[in-house]
Amino acid sequence: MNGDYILDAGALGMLAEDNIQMRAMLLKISGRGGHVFVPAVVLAECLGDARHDPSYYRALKDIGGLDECVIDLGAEIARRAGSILKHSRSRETIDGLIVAAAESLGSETRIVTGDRVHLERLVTAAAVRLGVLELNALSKPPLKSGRPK
Amino acid sequence: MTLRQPKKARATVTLDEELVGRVKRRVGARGVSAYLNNALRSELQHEAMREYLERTEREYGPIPQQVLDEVQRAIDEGFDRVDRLRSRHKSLSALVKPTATQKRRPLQDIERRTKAALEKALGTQVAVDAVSDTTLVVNIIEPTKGHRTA
Repeated sequence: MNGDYILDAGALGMLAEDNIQMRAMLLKISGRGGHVFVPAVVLAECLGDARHDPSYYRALKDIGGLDECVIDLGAEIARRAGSILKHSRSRETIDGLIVAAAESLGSETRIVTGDRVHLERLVTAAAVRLGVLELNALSKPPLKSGRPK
Repeated sequence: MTLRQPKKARATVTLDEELVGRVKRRVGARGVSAYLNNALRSELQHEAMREYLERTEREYGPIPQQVLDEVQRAIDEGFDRVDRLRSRHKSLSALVKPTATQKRRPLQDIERRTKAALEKALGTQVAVDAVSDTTLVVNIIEPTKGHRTA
């Protein structure tokens, strides 16, 4: 099974906050020799606010840094995103690009998201089998977690 | 997949002869650099993840088993919902498979015709949403229970 995972903006935000479920997920991925990627378009969603940028940059560093984890979105991925959006009759362009980026990693890639509903519709239009994980949907952890405010 | 493409640097490294032979047999002599590049990337990412996990464990303590179990379940079930949606779409497509002539019709026409056929067959109101010319999402409107997606 493919051990690749894609993070959307919600998931990258969870990583930036040291969310306990995200920590648990990284532990599982690391144990299985899997890899974590972030499509370049997610950076456009997350970066730009000087107050929050440092925690996002640190989150990216925690999964290997920009060179190791960011997927550039070239013409082929953009073309596939267009097709996926059209087939699922969606206008969520960023989500379409995320699904196309996941598709480019091959079958059995999982997308980790903060909002499963939008992505699931798009994922069913992908050319390969993709999974969707919504960590937000899990029950609240019994212990306090997250970066201290 | 296209990762960001940084500049390349030439490096002289000493490796086990047997290991180099195995890599060459797998990817060919010209693919060795790319293979090693990917292996190093992978190792660097895992190292960064291990450091992150060690730091967060020091700061917040270990992850409770309950959370680990829940996340494992979410990972294992990551495909189930999507597979169910896909198969639901597929089975409905087979049920109302458009003919060659219908394929040329606009999606709205397929929606209208399918709605009429299903309402007649089921004896209840339905709402039809054509995702593509081969995939339809049908909401069965039950008078007492409200909407049910099929």
